[in-house]
Amino acid sequence: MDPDQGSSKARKLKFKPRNLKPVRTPKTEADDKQKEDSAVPRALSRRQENPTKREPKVETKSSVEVAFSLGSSSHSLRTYGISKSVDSGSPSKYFANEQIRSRHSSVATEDQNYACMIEVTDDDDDTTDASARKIKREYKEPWDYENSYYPTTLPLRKPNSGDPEILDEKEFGEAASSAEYDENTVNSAAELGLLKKSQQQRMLFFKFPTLPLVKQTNKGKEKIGKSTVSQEATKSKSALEELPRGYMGKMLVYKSGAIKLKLGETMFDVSPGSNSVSVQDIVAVNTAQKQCCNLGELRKRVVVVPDLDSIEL
Amino acid sequence: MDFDDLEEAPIKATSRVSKFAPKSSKLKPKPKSEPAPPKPEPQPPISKPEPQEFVAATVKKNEDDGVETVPPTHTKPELDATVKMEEAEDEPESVRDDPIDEDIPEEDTVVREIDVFFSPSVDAQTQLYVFQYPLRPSWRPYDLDEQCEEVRLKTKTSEVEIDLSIDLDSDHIDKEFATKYNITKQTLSTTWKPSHANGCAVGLLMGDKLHLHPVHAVVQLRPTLQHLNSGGSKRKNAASTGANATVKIEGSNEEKSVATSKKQNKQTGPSIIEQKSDGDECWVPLKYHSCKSDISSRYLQQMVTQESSPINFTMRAYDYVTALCPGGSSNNLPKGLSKRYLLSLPVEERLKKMLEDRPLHRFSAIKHFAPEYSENELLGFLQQHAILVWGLWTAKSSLLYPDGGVETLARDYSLLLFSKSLKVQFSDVSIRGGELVNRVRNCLKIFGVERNDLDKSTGKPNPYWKFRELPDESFKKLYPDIVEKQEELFKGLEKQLSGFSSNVGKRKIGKNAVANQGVNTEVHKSESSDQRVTSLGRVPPAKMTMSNETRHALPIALKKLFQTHKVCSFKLICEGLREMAVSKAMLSKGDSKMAVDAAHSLDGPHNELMAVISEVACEINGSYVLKSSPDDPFRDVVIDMLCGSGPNAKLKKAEILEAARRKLGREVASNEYTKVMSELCVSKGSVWVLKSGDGSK
Repeated sequence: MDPDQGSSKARKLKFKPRNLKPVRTPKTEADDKQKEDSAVPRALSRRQENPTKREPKVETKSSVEVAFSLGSSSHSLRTYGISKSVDSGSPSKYFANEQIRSRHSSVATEDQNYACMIEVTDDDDDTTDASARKIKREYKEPWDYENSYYPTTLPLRKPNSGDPEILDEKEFGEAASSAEYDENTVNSAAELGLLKKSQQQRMLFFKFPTLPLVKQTNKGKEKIGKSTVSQEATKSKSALEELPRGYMGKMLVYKSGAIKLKLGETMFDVSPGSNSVSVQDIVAVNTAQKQCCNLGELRKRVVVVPDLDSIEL
Repeated sequence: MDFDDLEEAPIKATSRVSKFAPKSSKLKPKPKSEPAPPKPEPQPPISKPEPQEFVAATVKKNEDDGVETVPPTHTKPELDATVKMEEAEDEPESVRDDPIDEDIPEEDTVVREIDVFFSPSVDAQTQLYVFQYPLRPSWRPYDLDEQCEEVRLKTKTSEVEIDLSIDLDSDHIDKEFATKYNITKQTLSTTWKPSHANGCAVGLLMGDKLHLHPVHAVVQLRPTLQHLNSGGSKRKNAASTGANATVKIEGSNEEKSVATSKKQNKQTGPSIIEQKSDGDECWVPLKYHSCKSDISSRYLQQMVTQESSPINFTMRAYDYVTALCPGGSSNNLPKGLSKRYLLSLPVEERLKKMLEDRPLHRFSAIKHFAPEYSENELLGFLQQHAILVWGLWTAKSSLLYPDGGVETLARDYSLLLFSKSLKVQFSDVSIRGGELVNRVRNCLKIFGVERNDLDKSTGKPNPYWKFRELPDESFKKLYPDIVEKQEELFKGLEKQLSGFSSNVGKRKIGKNAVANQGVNTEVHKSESSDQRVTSLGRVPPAKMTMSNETRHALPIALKKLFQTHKVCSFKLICEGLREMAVSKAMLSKGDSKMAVDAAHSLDGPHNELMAVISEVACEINGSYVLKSSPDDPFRDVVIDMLCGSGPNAKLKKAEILEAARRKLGREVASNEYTKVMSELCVSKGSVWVLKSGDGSK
């Protein structure tokens, strides 16, 4: 937690010069306290990865977008006015403009994929027009993520992700729509973060199939149909609740990114599940002591499937 | 001077990057995989001309940055410079590793091994839940640590409610609206009952160890708009809540934003889903603890404690696949032994396993499992270890019970009963002794299906066993010599097991001996033949494949046949029926259809034909004679004497007259005597001999 607080303080200091000079209203002590309180969760939220869009959420959010459209337009108009006044100012205001550029460069370093796209488009802009280049470099976020109750906009993106036009082209453009899902190119270990060892605790959500746990050892030489049907019914109900405590097996991470789980003599494929955008917490509920403890945040889903290629019938 | 030094360092770093740009661009996502894993959707591969443009773009952009960006005097740009230097150092190392990977592309080695441990629960009273907040993206969670007042839970249905406090003094809260609707807190609740999380577990990964714990339920929490639902159901501990405020962040609200918030509330009002909560179970209030509290860390430590006793996943692959996909019809699938397991055994052992596994096998199925054997070799093996019953092979009792004993006896006896008829009545199990009868009945259940018939006279259930499988007629046609050998085997079995029936017969004869004094051996034989005839009569006609017309026409045709030939063998009966059909058809009379229908019985199984013949005629040492009418008792006496004397019986006139006098109580007239004897017998010297069944007189 300490480096996060350090980085949040660094980010705070970046904003101070810009806030002091264009907006000269005095701030009260209550505002400072609220900033400090909200700094910690904001810093945590910045570390989240950029999500992919979900179709059912579009339906639920569309009414919200309509409701907030007026507010967002007013915000964007206000910010553009401020930037114009900065350009026509003195060298001290030119210094403030440099802060904005360094901020853009920090955004580029945070995500290499976006940097590649930005540089490619800059190449195109150089050939066309210099004024257009100036406009794209001067892109600012429409609202203050730290100090305001900003609205939710679609598509859902992390704050300070960059220019929406570039991101829209990348996510919904022709290249993205024509790309098909190829399971051979999916690197399971990289997606789940299992390539390198780290002592930090991580929560994964596992989905298991029927496990190869033998319950009954009745094998008569000559069987009647009724008893075999009942035996099959009991076998299919072997779930996680009936497993005893102990050591299950080994999970093997290969160089190519494949992950295998070996339970007894049976091999299982481990692959990442669908990526969830919403908040998920693991909670331990103790009804006797009346406690509800938040144990951590769930970020990854894992699907375990028996490896039928390795099973010899 | 400081400015010049800072300018030179990034230029050198970028020059290194520009040289290896095509390869390094591919490798860049790897070092960042841990802090921020890449998107699940794979990016389309960059085409060849694009990297060149990328190189040119980077060069141009670096020049622009060098010219325009003036580094400030603060200490932070130095930190940025060091970060860039570190990145530059990392990239050449990854470039060097690249050719090694290309040299060995096929080998896929294990990079990491993670031990997986399982624990059914954290402790006896604690269950794990997954709380999902669908309306909040992952970078913008509810501030539960500060705002959560109470968590309520229904343990049976896993419904959850969370009360969040509202800061009414913040700038983005509409105080007037909150006061109007009496909004003091916000409640997140489950809109519908969460389903049980079957097969879901939470994995806690620490180092190279993964600890799995099953999840009790997955709960989705959404804000309720209880204050707008004035007619809604009232819950215990439920308070009016507002949807307008969720985060304590100051902000300026203009009149337009106030108007839009009012419109939003009105729009969402009518679309509220009324929550139908169960009033039976009461809520359990819980106190919320954040993930940094001591109690939460204690739970995490309990989850991490491991137990090294291994769980035995000993189910074989075949059984596991069967458990995953249970078959629709269990009769068609082989049970117990998988085909792969059988084929891995040597041939003789494999065939023995098959015979032991199931009671009855078709020859084609056995041949399918023994491709190494030719038909002659397979038949040799089967004749050595198995017995043929109605065209189906079953294991010999010596194979199943090497030590012999009562089981062998019971199984052989049940096989003998089934070999005679597809349907075995309970009365046919004529054995004394309770234990042996039960064992025989168990064996009959193995080879047949037990059913009950209601007796018409008494109304009591009469159990019988029907043969489990359909007879394999194709085997009988293809291999008639083997069928004959197997029939000889059953005759041998019958001789071995004749001790049972002879004991029973002796007891019955003993009772009769008390009633009739001074009985000689001939009378014994005649009485035993009486019993035999009666037992034949007891067998009801089985379900036949012959049509009703054939069944109706056959007795009539048989009676006509016996008028021509008094004594017939089975062969003569078949030939006679066929000739009768042909002659009738040529004459084109009215009863030709009946004769043709009777001849159709020859196409059916012989045991059914024999059953019908038994209704009309009685057997004397392999030949058939028409049954006597009730007004001719002397004929029965002669038939019984012929049966009792055995094959090649020779009767004298004095013996016949003496037996008739004793049985009928009167003297036999000479014309009656002559009529019956000339019908059934041929005189040879001073004795009478049964006519031969081949039709010659």
